[in-house]
Amino acid sequence: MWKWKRKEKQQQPQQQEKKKQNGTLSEFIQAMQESEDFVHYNLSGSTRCTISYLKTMCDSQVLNRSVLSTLNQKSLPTLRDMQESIPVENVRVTSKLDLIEEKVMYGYIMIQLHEKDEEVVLVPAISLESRNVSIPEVEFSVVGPKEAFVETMNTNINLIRKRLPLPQLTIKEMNVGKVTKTRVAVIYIDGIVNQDNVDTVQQRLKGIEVDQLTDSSFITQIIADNSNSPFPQLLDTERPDRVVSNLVEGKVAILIDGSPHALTCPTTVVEFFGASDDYFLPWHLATAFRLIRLFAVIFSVLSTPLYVAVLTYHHEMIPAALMATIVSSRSDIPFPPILEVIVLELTIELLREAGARLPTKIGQTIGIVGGIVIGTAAVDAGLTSNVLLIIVALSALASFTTPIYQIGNTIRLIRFPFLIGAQLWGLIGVSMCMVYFIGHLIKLQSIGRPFFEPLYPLRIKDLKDAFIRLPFNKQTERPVLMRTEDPQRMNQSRVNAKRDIDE
Amino acid sequence: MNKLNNTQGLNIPENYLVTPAYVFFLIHSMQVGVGILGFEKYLVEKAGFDAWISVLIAGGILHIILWMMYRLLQNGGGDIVQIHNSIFGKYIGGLLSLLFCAYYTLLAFTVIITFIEVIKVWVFPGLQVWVFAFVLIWLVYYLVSGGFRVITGICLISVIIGLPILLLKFFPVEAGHTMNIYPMISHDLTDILGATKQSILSFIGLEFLLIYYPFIKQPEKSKKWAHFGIFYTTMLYLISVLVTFVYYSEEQLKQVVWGTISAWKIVEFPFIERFEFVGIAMWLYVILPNICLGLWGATRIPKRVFKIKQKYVVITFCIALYFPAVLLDGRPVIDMVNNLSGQLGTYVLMYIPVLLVLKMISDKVRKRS
Amino acid sequence: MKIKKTFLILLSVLLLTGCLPSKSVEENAIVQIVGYDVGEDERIQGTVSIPQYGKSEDKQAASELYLTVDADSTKDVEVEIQKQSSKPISIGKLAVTLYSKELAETDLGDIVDVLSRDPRLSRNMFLGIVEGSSRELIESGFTQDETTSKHLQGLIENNTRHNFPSTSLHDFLYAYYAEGMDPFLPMLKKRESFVELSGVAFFKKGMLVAEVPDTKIFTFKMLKENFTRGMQDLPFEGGTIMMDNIGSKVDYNISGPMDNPTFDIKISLKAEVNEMAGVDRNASPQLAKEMEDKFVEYFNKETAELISLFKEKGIDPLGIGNFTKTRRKDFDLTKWQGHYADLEVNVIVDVQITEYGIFS
Repeated sequence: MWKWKRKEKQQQPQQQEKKKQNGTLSEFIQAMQESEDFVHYNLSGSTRCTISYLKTMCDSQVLNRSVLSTLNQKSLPTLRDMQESIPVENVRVTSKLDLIEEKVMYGYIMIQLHEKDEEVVLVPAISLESRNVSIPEVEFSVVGPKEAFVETMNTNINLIRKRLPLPQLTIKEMNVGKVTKTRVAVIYIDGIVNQDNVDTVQQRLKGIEVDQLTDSSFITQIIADNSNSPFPQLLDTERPDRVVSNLVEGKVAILIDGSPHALTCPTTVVEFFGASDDYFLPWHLATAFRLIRLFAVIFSVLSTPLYVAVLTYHHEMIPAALMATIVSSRSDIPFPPILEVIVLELTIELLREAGARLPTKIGQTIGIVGGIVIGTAAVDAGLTSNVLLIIVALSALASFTTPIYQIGNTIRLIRFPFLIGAQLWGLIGVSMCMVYFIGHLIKLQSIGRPFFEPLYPLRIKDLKDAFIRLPFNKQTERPVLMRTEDPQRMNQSRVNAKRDIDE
Repeated sequence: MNKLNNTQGLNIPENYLVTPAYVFFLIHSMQVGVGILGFEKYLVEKAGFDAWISVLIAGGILHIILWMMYRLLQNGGGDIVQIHNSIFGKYIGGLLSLLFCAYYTLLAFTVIITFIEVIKVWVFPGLQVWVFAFVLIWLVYYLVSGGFRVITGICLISVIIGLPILLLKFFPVEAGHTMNIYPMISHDLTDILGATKQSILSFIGLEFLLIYYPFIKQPEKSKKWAHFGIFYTTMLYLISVLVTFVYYSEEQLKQVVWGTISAWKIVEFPFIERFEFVGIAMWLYVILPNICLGLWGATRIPKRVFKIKQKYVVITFCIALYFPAVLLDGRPVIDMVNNLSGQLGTYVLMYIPVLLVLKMISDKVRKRS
Repeated sequence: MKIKKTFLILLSVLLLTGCLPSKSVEENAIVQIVGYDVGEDERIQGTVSIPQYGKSEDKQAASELYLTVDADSTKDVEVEIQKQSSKPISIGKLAVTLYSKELAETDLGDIVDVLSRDPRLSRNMFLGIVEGSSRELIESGFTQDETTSKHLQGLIENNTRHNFPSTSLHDFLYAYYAEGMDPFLPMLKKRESFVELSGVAFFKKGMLVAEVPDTKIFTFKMLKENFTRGMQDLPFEGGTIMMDNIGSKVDYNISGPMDNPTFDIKISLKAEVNEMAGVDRNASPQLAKEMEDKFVEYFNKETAELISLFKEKGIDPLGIGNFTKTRRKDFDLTKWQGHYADLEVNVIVDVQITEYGIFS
């Protein structure tokens, strides 16, 4: 029965599609005239013609200075003449209806000789309304470049191109989304990238069946190898410098018009814990910070489950000196540890959610009110223990140390299965949960490449820039993961050339 | 090469193969299981504190058997099913392969029930086995359904996670009586050989090579890794034995069922005491490869013999494993199952030289005819 | 799809029923010390103390709840105490177990068996023998800001770093089960307002057979193990000198045939002398030599006394038999025990005084 219903649903959209297709150009113009911002009139100067354009999409400067002035100065009897004399780049003559429709919708000016003509001149006059390039807010860094992507793709490509002045930097564009027809660009460096990766990405992008595409995260979810996984399998970043260094490593980047984030792939789970700051610091400091971040993540996921496990089942494990602290802080609490933890964890999630939805200034106030007032009040009222309050606050703090926002969400949520495991079978439950996630990570793939990479498959070479970051002269090779066509980053012998004393 | 292509199910696409170095992890993690938690007791019953020699001898024997297995597999060009078929023909060979399947299943089953027993004794006396076994077997199914590469990954993780547990051996040494081990052989050869047999029981697991051999990329190169794996296991067992001998007195050890877990009890850190709970929880990582690889090996044989889908075999076996795991209970029964699988394990190891000889004879006969 | 859905529902139902009955830490009565005395009608009297942790602010409050019951066995003690307690008894954190001397003289064998069997117990637990009633000792509450168990645990632990040989449940069980080795335990005694470690109790299997006072503990520890601390005083030329051990090494050696072996115990001791009360001489190498000789003489006498005590009682707390077993193939326990009283044990002590403190 289910199958039958589904079939019926599939048939409906196809019929609608057929209806939508317009027959002729005049029908298109008629349809467009329904909108108030569509301008359509006959020009009666030295050149007689019909001009139509969307005034909200057109650059009026182009229209007034280049198009109208040219048309009024000279007499241009044919479309070819117009194409030659209008001082705008890439003016074209066409009679293809779908092309005309698309271009007009983007803000091209359409010029016909007579109203009924099928052949037209298209003058590009797109007005690009966009935000200025600003400081990265999600992936902020104290040192290093402070440019972030914006919502216009051309600006974004510009940000990448100016860092990579290479003829090999290749950009392939396509339109995705049945209704939105969003521009999507696949960027890679020819000669470094493995063509398989590019093909996979392009194939998957072409295969996307979706009506609207308003952000890069749509793509992440749709083309992921396993869309049921809580782990993002494409890395999204708002930093052009990060995209560039990924491209140089041999990865593929995807840019989506209207989204201030770029996606890079294939990626690995450890890459989500590396910040661009790591490359701006000396390698030992960077390594230390990376390890701290890794520890923070482990702490964030495991601390409350361990609290539940130990307090519920294994209190022999608490050292005698700590026993007094923990027991006396818990002695007033009417709930079992699991309930206490879940209530407090949900409170923190609530605070974060409220803080994220509100404007920055009010958000801060909410944070303070929630954190301090609710926290102390809950302890005073004897609803939660202050030991747990410390643990939960720390683990929330630790979950925000991840440089990539997407994985932070994952980390905050995967602790709930761990909590259930801890309540079921104490430490054994926790480790069962852990095995499940490790198994899941091993199974995961990013564009067909293993997601758990430097760990499994174990690649010592890639471990140089995973949990630790070795100095640049030790990283003369590109990661094995990408299987690049040119594995050498630089000339190893010249990098490591040894000099004698006083030479 | 043509011969290889003829046999269905042996042509494994390259992206399912693993590199030779993983054989180290596969062999090692399969050998180390629940046995290491309490094998010392059985050794001491046989050969006293001289049992460490038996461990070394057992390691040596296994190296020889491994060498034979490689000879067998390299000439046979495939897995155990292929070899059986070529020696005994389709029907008898298939039957023998199914015996292997039963043995592999028994190994996986032994590990499951022993681990559940450990949990019941040490952590949760009131554990609802039927729920726990269900979740455990479901977890195993999840991993096995990922295929051989995932299982290899679990083996790797298990070895990595096992390393810090190894460091805990330091604590009993500190608390122990180092003078107990003195290179003085006070038992006669039969005692020591008896203990050798006993230690081989806890060493079994390398015979899985017979079934996952076709999954190794450039199998000739994996030889050294396999030997290295056995060597590492032997060293690990030797260290365990020595540490236990230092920590317990000989007669005391005979009373202790799980020597290693008892020794974990003395591990103390400022923030945590009584490490046995953590140890047992971490032990899940060490036993999972045993169960997963056991089940995978067991279910691959029916696939190869009857040409049926492994997916369904795995589900059937999981269900089949679940009920006895819930129903069997109590120390004597579990001891019996452990002994049975150990006995069968030694027979399997003894069968390998026989198989090698038969294979060589049949090859010669075939060449002549 | 349908199968997966039903499977998930089944799984969640299973998980719900899978929860184990659990009690959070604060809902348990955590027993940290238990004492056993001889009760009426051949029963055992057990006393436990349960610390009552204060609420929030005053964490370290040392109020304790004492419960005393009569029972047939140690396991039965737990059952009987359960009857008197409002919370379930948890013995996982048991840190000190005390036995009255009276009880220890009958036999601790059964009790020890329980201790080695129970997986909940820690192997670092301390055992002790009480001169008098262990109940009284537990209930007297010595300090304001510590529980009795913590106090006694600290007391024994501190002493094992100094004069007392290392002791714990594991050490006791090790010696108890080992061939040619007998266990020993610290003896505790209650004075008016404090408790002190008053000596060592020696066991033959589970039975207390001998004891030595605290003045001889240093000598015993010296024979038993290497250590780097501890003090010993000695009368010297009308005054007293106090020696501070900075490194003592002991070495066993066996020679001769098995029917008539000779056992050598070599001790080399490095020490400082920090106090010379009533000795009216200046520090000089000459004086040091004299003091060394005096100590050697003293230790020779003491060790000979101890060893003859061991032989007389037929006990072997030093583990001489156990040592021989690891060195000799033809070791036979019954034979060894027969010979033990006539075994020739030579103790060679070498004392080296290296420092005289910072003032000479």
